[in-house]
Amino acid sequence: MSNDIVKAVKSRINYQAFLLLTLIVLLFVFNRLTDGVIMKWNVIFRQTEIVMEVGLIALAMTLVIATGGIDLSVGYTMALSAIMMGLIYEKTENIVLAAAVCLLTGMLCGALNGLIIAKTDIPPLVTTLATFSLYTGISKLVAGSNIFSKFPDGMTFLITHRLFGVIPYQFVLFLVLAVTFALAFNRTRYGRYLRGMGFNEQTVRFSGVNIGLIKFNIYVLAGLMSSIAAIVYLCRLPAAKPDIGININLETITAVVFGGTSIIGGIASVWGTVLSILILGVLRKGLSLIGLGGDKYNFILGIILVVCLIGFSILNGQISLGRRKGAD
Amino acid sequence: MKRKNGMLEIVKTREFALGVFTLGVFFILYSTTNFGSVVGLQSYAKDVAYILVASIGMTLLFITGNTDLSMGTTLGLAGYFAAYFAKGGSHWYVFIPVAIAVGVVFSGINGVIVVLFKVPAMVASLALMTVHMGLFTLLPLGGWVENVPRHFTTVGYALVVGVPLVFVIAVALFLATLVFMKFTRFAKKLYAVGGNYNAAILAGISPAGTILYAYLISGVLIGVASILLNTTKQMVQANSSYGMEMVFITATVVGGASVNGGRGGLVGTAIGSFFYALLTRAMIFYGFQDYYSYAFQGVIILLAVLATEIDFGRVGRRLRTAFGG
Repeated sequence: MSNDIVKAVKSRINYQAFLLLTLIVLLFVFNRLTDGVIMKWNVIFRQTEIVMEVGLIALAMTLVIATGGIDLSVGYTMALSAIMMGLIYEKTENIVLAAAVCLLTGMLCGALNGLIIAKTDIPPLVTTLATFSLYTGISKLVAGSNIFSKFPDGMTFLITHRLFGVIPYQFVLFLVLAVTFALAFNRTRYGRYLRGMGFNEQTVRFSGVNIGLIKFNIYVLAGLMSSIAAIVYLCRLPAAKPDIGININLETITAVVFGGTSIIGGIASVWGTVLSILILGVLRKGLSLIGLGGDKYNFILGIILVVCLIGFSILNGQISLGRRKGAD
Repeated sequence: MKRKNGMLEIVKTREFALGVFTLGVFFILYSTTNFGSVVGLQSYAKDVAYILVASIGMTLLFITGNTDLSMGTTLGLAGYFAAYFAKGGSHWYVFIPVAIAVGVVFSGINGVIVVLFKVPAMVASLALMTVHMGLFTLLPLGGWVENVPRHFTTVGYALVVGVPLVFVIAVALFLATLVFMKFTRFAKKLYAVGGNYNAAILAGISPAGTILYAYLISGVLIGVASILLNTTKQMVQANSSYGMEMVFITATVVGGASVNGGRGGLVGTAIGSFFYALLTRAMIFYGFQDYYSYAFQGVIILLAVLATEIDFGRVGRRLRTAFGG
């Protein structure tokens, strides 16, 4: 068993090399298809900004999936946080208060998920599916048919200002957080607990770890990252409405699974997620440049997800045997 | 013993409580609004029909410990193809099998991914849902069929002594599956696989085959449900049933099926379907916005799942140990 795990971890390192290669190949392919638009200095960094919201959430989602859980409610947590921010700013004209309420909303949404998952035996999938529906309803209720687009003038600084004129600030934020998450996940005891929970929750529990608290924290973190993503989104496109959360779930889960994280937990890689986010950025930008945006992009995402799920289950055949959800 | 307390046992079940509650809401609606008009009751029966049939499929999957989030989009695809064939001049004995075949194929793909590659059912079907959404954009006629021919809507508008034919079909199908679940060995296998996967293997049951069959049966039911839903409409739009899987999941978990598998029954699901359809009616009649239904759905699912999963016996034991009793 442990040999299998070592083998799997090694194959993940090779897999990251494969992801890096995919990224480079995709860059060249789209460069060819779009007559050299993609590889221009100002575009090569700017294309990351369309997937940065997803990227921020995906960092937290990597940790959630590492514990063997999942959070399907992140999309509408993000939408609800954005709407609350818009609502509070419209009422009080105080952007600091609005941002604080936004972060608080995300954390509360995450806390509800975490509370139910930590305190009951309900699987995270079902819990977050139900809260997904709940947060959808609340955000549609709060917003009605309004679109909150009243924000201070400096709000769109993420479009107008870039580091050295080329690198989007949200990309810098993403990288800083990615390094933090990777260090926390790979180098600390907490990270080992998370991975341990993905492999065998009972063993971690019997080692004297308060797994309920860890679960609660990890879902609050997912909620918090969703609300940070909401702020980043509003700084880019200052219009808060319910349907901004529509595709976030799928894109996030695809990014995490494509990054080499096992959907049943235990094996996870923050760097893999970072690489797959960059690949998705190139893919989305490139596809929209050659006229295949929107639904076509989602279609391709769905296919990537299915192929990754099948591929990893073949790779991990040894490990995942007998560890099906619901069997234990 | 059991016969002696038979009445009491029934009263204590969840189905009974839910049934009484549903009847209560029904009579409140009946007496305070014009829900009780013939047209109102008929359209309620039509709502119940497709929810009931599809929820039976969902229940079978839940019993095996699986689920299908792509059920809504599969239903849309099945209905679209049926309408497309009907528009091309096909008779009912062609377009109904077409709908069923589409349901079986797409549900079967889902089942194969879940069974063969051991991917968690929810994630697999979430991915497939997006693939279906992508397929919608590639369909001929832009994914919707306008002005469906008369012979297509005949099924949906037909009445049997005042009762919509689709409702009669749904109830007949429900009774048939009830008998099937009661008397066949396959039904026991479903519970065995969902209750304890490894024990089922040791008992000589092939979980893979059982789960795959559950997906195929669910595919047939989705096909039938798509006919029951779409023949009542003048226009069939493939993506209009996106999100409907939440309705079926709600009806199923309200009816007492366990999300961990191994528990659940068709009677509960049937009452759950009546309950859900009634609730949406009630919200319309009392003038709630459409948005509330999402929030209600989430709360209902959470409450229902909590009620099913919390082991009250264990809670009681814990309390007793805590208080030294």
